[in-house]
Amino acid sequence: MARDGDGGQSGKGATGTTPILKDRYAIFPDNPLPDLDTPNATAFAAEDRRQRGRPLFALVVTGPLPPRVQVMQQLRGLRTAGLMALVEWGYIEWAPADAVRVVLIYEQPMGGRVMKSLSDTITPISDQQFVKSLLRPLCMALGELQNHGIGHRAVRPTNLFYSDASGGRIVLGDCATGPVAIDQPVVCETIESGMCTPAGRGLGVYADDFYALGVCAVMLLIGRNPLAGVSDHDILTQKLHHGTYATLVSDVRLPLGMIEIVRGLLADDVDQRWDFEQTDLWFNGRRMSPVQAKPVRRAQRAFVFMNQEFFLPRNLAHAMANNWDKAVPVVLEGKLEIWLRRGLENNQLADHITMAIRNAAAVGEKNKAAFQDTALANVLIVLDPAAPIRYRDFRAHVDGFGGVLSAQVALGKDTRLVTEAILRDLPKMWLGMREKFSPEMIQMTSNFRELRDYLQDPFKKGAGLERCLYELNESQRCLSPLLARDIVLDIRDLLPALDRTASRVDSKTEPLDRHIVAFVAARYPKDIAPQLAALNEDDTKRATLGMLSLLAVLQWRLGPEALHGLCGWMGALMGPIINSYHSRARRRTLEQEIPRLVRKGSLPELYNFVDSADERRADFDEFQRARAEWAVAQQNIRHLESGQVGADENAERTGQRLAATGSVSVAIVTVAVVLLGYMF
Amino acid sequence: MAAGSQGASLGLTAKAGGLLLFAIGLFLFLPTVLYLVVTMLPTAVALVIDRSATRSGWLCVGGLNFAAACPGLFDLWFTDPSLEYATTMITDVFSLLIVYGAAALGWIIYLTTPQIIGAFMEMTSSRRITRLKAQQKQLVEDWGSEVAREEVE
Repeated sequence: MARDGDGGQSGKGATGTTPILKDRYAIFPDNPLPDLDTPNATAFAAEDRRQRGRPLFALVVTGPLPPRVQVMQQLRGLRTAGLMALVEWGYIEWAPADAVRVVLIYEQPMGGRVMKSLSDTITPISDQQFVKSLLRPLCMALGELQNHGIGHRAVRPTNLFYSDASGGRIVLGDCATGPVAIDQPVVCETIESGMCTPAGRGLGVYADDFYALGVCAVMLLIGRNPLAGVSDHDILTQKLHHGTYATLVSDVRLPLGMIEIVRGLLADDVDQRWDFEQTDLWFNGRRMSPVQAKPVRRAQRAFVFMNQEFFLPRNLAHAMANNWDKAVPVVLEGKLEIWLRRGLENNQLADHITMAIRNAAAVGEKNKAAFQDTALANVLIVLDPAAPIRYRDFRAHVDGFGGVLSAQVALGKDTRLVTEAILRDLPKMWLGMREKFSPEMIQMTSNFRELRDYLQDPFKKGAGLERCLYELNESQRCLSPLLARDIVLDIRDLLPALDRTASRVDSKTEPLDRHIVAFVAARYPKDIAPQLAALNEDDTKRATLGMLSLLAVLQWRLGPEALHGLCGWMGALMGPIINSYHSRARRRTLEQEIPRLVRKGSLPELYNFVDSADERRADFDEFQRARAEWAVAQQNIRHLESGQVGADENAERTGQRLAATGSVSVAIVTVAVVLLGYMF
Repeated sequence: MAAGSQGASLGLTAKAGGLLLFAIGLFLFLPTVLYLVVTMLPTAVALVIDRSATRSGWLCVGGLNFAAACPGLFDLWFTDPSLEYATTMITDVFSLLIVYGAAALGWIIYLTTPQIIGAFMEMTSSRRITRLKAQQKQLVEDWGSEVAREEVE
């Protein structure tokens, strides 16, 4: 969970059944408000304990997808007309799920949702009332969000609410309970964003919100969705062929005074699309020349693909992306290149196609299918550089890769296409085709190169898919099963969460699984390469030491001071480290001392104790001496045992010499004695 | 060639000198020589028959043999250094028995001492092996079985 003042604290009411956020906001799980639900969160009645009667409701994130926590931090307390005010957010113990959940407290819009679904029909709003009471506050709200660096990306008629019961004012609904733009209908998204899979749209640009606002404006002005019942594919195709404005407005009559702003907001060219400044000028009475679409270079003769004639590369790319397997031979046989040179008379584009195919051969991993897919993906990028990266069924902008990966992992779906797209350098190709240089592109290229390196080492802890997941998603909570009951978004919350987990898990389970290691590697700003290297060692002792070292570093740098549960957990895993000492006496000392250190709750102390350099050196030196002693003893034993074979011979020689010496000595003494007897 | 013939003639001269001196000695100290020839006979036999590794049997036998013979020898020298007295002494069976008994004892000592020494040495090395093995066992208890490898790094 987040710390105090960051995300808030969880808690339960005095009764123990009503969760209370930050000792102030009571949430009533028994009082759901389904009309205010979002796709990834459930709405419940809420109450401000200090200001009773204030109309509030709570959105509890109950869905599997990650919410936009950074956006919550910035939205809290932001009050502007046209925006549903986020009063507070934080984490609560959510009894129905027996887990911690993110909760957002909003001011309740009293007039309900403007459109319950996109197929709804409502009373059209007159243009005079619309501009002053509705459109302008919404533009102001988007402008204010832009000033705070927030892209709303959930501007759609079904996420607009009447803030009062009279229906005089409309506010933008929640944009933080789910991933960015994931719930947006294709009709509300720009052509490029609509091409993406919902999770792969990415944050995009602020102008995308104004585009969505333009679509909302059309629907509110005519009281219905002009494209209701039309499939997403057809909406995209129509937008591609005719432009958004024509697609939406061709069959309806807009108030004359609204045409200019709607045309400006719905401009498909992002450079021409109206943003806050231009809409503000328009609201203030300045009238501008109508936005005209840039002329596009059309081919002299059509390229026939799937029995359809195409005159524009962009439309052809869209058709090819939707008919992947049939497009591959067309591209590789060179027909496309010939058409570009002769039909479109664009040699530069044709050269780029050749380069794109050559690039694919370089990264195609000597696999024919991989080469073909990469080649087509590269060619589609060249044909339509503004479109998202398209790789078989994967479609995402470079800033949407994280969203796709996060959603696929959260929903338990296959992540192969995302990883292949990264491994085959498609983001690099996409970034290389940008017309305008941006310093961010260098950073992004470097980031994707790192991600590629992680994926090339898929079995290493702190790399692989998990590392990519956390590197690409700042708001991604740690998905370790060990932390399933908690929400760990900040690295500082990890150790306290593991401390709580300690009491629930089998002590033989390791506290650092792939997700946690990847999360730490992605979120911890300092160098932990030595710890990661040790963690990935095959040797159990070194791996356990690496694990303890990493946790100790985190506690040392980030706190908290005492982690009794986690210390006890780690203490139970010290077997391999204890056994790595040779001296049995040292092992006994360690076994006796570890419980004392565990009671202190300090992982750094535990680490320093079990891996003291002096103790290690002394143990090693003494062990070497002991080995030498043993070897010398063994050698002596062998010599003594082999010496017994020749013992008889030695003994005989020695005995004979001894006997001879003794005998001669006796003779000398006798001579001396007898001689002395005669002399005296 | 000349040097070789010169060396050979020198050896021959020495041998001849030796023989001459022995002959003079035999003539001058005949009683002593007679007494020693008879009493030291076991030593001469031991010198001939000894095939042991050190070939020191004659020393062992000779030492005790001479120790037993020397009182008679000094008696001969200081009492009556005559041939008759020498003959009387070597015909005294009791004296001869003592002298030859001492020689026999020397031989017995020469034969048994190696066995005693061997038994002692064997006992000492077994005890050392036991002590070394106990030391190794203690090392294994203190440091584990991995200490029991001979290659020392």
